[in-house]
Amino acid sequence: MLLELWNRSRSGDDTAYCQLSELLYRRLFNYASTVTEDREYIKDNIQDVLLHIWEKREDIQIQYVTIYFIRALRNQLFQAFRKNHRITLMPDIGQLDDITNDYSIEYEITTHEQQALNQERIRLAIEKLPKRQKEVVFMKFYLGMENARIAELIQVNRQSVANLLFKATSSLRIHLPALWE
Amino acid sequence: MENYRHFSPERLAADDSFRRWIIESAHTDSLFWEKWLRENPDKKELVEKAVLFIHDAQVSLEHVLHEDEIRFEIAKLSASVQQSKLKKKAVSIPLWCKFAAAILLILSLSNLNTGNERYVLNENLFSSIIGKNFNPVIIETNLTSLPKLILLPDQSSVVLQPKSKLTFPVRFQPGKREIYLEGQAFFEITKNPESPFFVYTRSVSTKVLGTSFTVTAFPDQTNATVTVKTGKVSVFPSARARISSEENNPIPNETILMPNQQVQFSNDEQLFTKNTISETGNPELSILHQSFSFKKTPIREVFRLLEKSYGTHIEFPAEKMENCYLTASLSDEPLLEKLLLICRTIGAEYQISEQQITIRSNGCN
Repeated sequence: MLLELWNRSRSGDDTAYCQLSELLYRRLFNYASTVTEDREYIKDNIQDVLLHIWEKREDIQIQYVTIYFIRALRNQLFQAFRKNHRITLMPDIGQLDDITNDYSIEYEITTHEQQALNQERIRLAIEKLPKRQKEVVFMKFYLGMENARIAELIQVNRQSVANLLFKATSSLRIHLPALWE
Repeated sequence: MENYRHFSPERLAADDSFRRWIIESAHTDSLFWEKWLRENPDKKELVEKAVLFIHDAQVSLEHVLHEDEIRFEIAKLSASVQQSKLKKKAVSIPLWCKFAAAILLILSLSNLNTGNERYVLNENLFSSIIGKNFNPVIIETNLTSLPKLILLPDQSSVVLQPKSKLTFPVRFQPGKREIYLEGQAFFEITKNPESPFFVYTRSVSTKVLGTSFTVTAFPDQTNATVTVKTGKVSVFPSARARISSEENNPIPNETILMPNQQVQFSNDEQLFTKNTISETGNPELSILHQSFSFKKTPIREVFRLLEKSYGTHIEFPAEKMENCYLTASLSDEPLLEKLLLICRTIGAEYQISEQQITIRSNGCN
């Protein structure tokens, strides 16, 4: 489905390309959200990547569509970060703790559902992970990629991916005691 | 072989084989895990927790992103893709004139979601505190049977017709003002040649450098129509609107509209058809043909006309302003500019709060 849309895009079908972009958009946005919280910055960068891929479509060979687009966005974000020091990446943990405290009070008022609470806890615990681990956790649990693909995408070997995941899940365990009582 | 007995639920949830079993029910993995569970009956709870974690982690990694935000972004992309095509073909893009423009655009759209009348996309509390450039999108929906006034962040005014929806950012980006429309609306845009105004819709996009224009878009029509009242605009098809791009059916590029001209875009045939409009067309959108010339007109009549044209309510001290008359020739300025001109003429002041207009005056001599 994605690959078919891509092949049509490659031959100049811009309708297909817009459809493809729409299908991928949420995944791209969520991926970028693991790197920065700045929504407008994310949207601008996604626009740039999508337009760039369209303009270069004839020279591009794609095997896995989602992985290709995520990788392109990843490169774009890191290049932009290097150029633009104005953008701050994720807040440090001290800052997060303050917000977490305020947040849980608000949160308790508005929801009774244990599941929503669990999801929120996981989200906050993932936020606390170092950037690299957070990225791997996103690829694993959100995109559902296997270790081999993740290794290919972030250009490390499979053992490093396994190590990153092990570190990440270990610290998630520390941050999520209530979940596993 | 891993010793899964000592895994934490989180680590088990990250295991490729375990995930293949849970998510894809892959055959080999299913055989392995079913056997493992039989051999380790005390680990049932571990498996349950891992499954729950897989689900919750996926959901928790979803960020709040409204469908309309995506549609807005894809409309922007579609316009850029069109522009990059034009550039490649070396078609010269005309210089945009500074004069005012008024257009009417009718086109087919997807079903309109019902919902709140004014919906400010609220990112969760967490990132609204952290986000450095927090710039939410506003979605205005008119579910009433009357036109509704909406003021844009650049002071432009929009009369949104019933069953219509407008998506725009709380702040416009520098250099480009972009909004997304489903339904029908009349626009009067503040003059800013450095920052052209784009109206995106599902099937056509419109670029304006002028000061005022009308846009209408209805979900249940198969044709898109753009009508210009004054000024000049460019209309080009959105990429996504084109069903096929057959070789023998060349895509229409942008088309330029002058005052009192109308263009119809047929979704089925992918064609632009140009006409000249008659004064009586489209009675439901009276503002398109409304003249705002006044000669010694009592002020309450002026306000009544504005209220009717813009679908808003104007609060003013009627008794005090009994002796106020207006002589002025207004045309396609945004509502706020009109109010400013009127107030200057009669020595009054106006105030806007929560889309409510209030006039203050001590009367005229």
